[in-house]
Amino acid sequence: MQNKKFNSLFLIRAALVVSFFVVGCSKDPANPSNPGNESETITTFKLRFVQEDDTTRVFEAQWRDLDGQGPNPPTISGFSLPANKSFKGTVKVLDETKNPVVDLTEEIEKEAEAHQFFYIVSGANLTIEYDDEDSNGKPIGLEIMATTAGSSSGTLRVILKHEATKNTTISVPSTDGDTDLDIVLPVRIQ
Amino acid sequence: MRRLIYLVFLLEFAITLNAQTSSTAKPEEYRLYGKVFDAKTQERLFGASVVAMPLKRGTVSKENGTYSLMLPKGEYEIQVRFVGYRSKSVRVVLNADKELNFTLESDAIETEEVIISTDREKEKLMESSQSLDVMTKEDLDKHRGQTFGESLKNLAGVSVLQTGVSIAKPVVRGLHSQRVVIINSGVRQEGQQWGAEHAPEIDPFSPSEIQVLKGASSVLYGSDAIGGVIRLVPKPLPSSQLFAGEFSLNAFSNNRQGAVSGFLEGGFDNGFGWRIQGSFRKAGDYAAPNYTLANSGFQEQDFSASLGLSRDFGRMTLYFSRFNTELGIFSGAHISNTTDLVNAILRGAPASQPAFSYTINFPKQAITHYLLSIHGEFPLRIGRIETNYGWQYNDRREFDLHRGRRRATPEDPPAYNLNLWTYNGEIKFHHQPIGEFIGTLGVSGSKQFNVNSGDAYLIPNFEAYTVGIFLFEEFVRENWTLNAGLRYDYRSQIAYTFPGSRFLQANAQRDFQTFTLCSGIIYQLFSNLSLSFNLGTAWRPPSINELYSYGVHHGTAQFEIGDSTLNIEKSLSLDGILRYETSRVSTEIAIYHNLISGFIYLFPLSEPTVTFRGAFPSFRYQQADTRLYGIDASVKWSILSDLRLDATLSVVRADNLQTNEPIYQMPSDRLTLLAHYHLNDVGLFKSNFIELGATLVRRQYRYPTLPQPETLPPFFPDENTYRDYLRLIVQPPAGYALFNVSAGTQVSIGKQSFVINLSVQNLFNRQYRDYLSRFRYFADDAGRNIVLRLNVPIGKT
Repeated sequence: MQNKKFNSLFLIRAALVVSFFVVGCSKDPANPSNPGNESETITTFKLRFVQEDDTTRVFEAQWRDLDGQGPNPPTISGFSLPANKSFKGTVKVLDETKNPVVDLTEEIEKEAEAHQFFYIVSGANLTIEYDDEDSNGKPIGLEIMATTAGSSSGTLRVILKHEATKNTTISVPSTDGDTDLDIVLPVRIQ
Repeated sequence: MRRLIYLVFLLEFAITLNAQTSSTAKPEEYRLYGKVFDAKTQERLFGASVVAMPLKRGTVSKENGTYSLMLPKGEYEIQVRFVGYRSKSVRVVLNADKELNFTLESDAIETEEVIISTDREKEKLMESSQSLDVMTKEDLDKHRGQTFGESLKNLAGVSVLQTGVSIAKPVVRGLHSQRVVIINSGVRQEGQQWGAEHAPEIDPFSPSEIQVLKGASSVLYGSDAIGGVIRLVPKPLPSSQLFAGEFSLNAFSNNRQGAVSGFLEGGFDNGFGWRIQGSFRKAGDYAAPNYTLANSGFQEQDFSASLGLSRDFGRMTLYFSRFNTELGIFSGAHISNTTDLVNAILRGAPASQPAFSYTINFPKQAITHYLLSIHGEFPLRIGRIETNYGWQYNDRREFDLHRGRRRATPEDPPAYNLNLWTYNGEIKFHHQPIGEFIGTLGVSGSKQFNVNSGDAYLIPNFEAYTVGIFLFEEFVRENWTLNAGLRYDYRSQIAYTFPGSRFLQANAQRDFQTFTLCSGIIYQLFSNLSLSFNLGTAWRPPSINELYSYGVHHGTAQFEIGDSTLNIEKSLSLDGILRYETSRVSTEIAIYHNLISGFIYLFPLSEPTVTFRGAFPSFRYQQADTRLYGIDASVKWSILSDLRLDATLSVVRADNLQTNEPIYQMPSDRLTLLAHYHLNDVGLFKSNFIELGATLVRRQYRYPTLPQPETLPPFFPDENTYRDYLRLIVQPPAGYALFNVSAGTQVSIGKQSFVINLSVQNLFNRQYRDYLSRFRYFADDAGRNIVLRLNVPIGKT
């Protein structure tokens, strides 16, 4: 008889301990059908060339993928540049999924020591040089100088490296660090 | 002295027997009787205790060594204990009066040596028609401080999928993750086990025994048991007056890891027992022979408590554990795109090789896992009821190196935060022998839901419900056993859509149902040789990531795409096992063939996915019929009274039957050898031994090749890199040989003993990369590691 009492007492205690753990450790489980939030991404890259001898002549190339990793391919518009001219180039990087649109260029400028753009030309008669530097005197690549030669066509590959060793050769991207951006723009010179 | 001990024994049984009388009307009972002998001298032993578990009914052998016990019809484990002798337990099915003799080995002479008595041998020969490996406490003690997965890798047929030193997943016969079920304290462990870099949330110090059941075993364990089942068996709780414990310290030189663990337990004669157990591990960056791997440290703190009551109504055990770890992910393995991956592979060593540090930076994982289980066993006149209830909460936080394209800060929420709740319940009825049949009828059910609370979705939120019912029967004769089982499972799950989902545009419900069956036979050809065959089936539903994932995996720079129309995966496995047991040799050789229909795997797509970060090779989850076959063999051979040689061999082959190509990332052929030499006692130093071990791993020469796409998409950044990628990603590293040495002793000062073990892993600091290491593209595996282990038993265990 005494045993029986003891058993039921034990069971009550056990149940108490159980409910304590179950209730105590789980914040009430959130509703699995509730949606969450999204993180920021780069959606748009713009490169604007202003012709040195005639600043009214402006050329723009753009790489844009509004659904990020989504199934829709990016929309790309390339350069069609006059031959044998020089241009001053500026870069813009945007996150257009946000409202208002986030201009990531400012962030890159702020952390200029940790960022570097690389420009690799293939096929086209186009030369690109850095036209800016960070506080350590190392290139960033947000501002560039471009020069065209004879008629040709090819591509311009643009890479943005983050936390990489800075490299002064514009066409040789560092092999360490992270890649924030790696895109290809078509280029035609005539 | 001995007289006094007999008295204590007699008293103990008087109490137990007294407790028995309170049970009411007795069912029909049979007599179990026999004699207890000394194995060497054949002398009859007076005062040995003979107890039938789980009934706990017992007696003590008389002066002429005889004993006799009345027991109801049933299946028992008979435990025989005698001071100065090694205890022994034998399983019997009692459905008539039965004579059972025991011979006990004195434990004074052969201390640590494995000498198996004839009944143990018989037990081992007949234990399972499936291949079964057991790691005892002694085996586990030699690996304490390592991860749970790592400690299993010397078993035949088991290898490890490794993400550095801190994340290790057991691979059973070539299969892992959601294809291996882990039973922790009677409950299926449920974390986010589908992830190859998600380690099982198990305190490596807590189990006192680990059993690995190989091959398809869904009938008894439900879905997912395709590769096998790993059962973690806690030490039974004390049920009589006792206070004891153990304390252990480990130090590892390679990653400067320190670990402390211990447990305390106690029992009362009224059947109550308790135990508390805890462990703490802290490690810094580990080192390959030539460099340190940045951000590879971890810190883990685990705790568990259990409470049990063992009475004539049965036994109840309450178990609660909390597992918590924070681990850094080697920063050199974080890759932003294909070009970076190819650069990292071609570089051959990490770009940044900072000095050793204990600091854990981004990327990192922080995981907390709670498990509560209630286990009950209640003997009835018609059998025995076993119940299991489990509650688990898994909180996985993964912090990325970046947030968007900005470096993450400690204030940022995790990139991924997955919260998984699992409830399971199971009731099993083990019926009384009907003729020569013994068996079990069981029902089980579970409820699970997953909620994302981080920045992004790795998998969608979901809810899942399962029910299963099974029957398993064994037909037991003197020299052979036949078994068969059948199970039905039903699973229903709903995945919820989320913003930005490219894949799951609306909530999606999927229902799965299936029958599984198994059948086996064990035949004891001679007293020391048995042969068994087992036919088993298993199934699993496609896991949530296989159905709905869509995104980049930054460890391998792969763009992974799920397929929401995937169907269940089913396995049919056939095993043949030869067991040979003598006092000197213990062997198990298993040959298996596992045919998996609808095997789910990542299939490379010819077109890469182009994103703003560059191009990623795309992989889609697909299904194909697959065949796995191989051999697991283990031999333990006591050549001399003080020298033992062990060897294990694991060979697995896997082919995709649709494409006739090998399956990606199958374990390489592996042979382990060990020589254990027992040294004589010297003064205070007892149980001295020295061990030399070798692990020989062959290069995996069977691997698939990735198809070259005929045309790359327009404006693809780097064509040559892509071709390099296709070649490098599948290429297995070279084979290797590692050597280990260890020595141990037990020092007794007064009544207190200390167990000390010193070992050196990777003795020659060899540079190597294992094919199953997920860091093999980026860095070498760990170099030399000197490990010191100290174990201090407290009180009497």
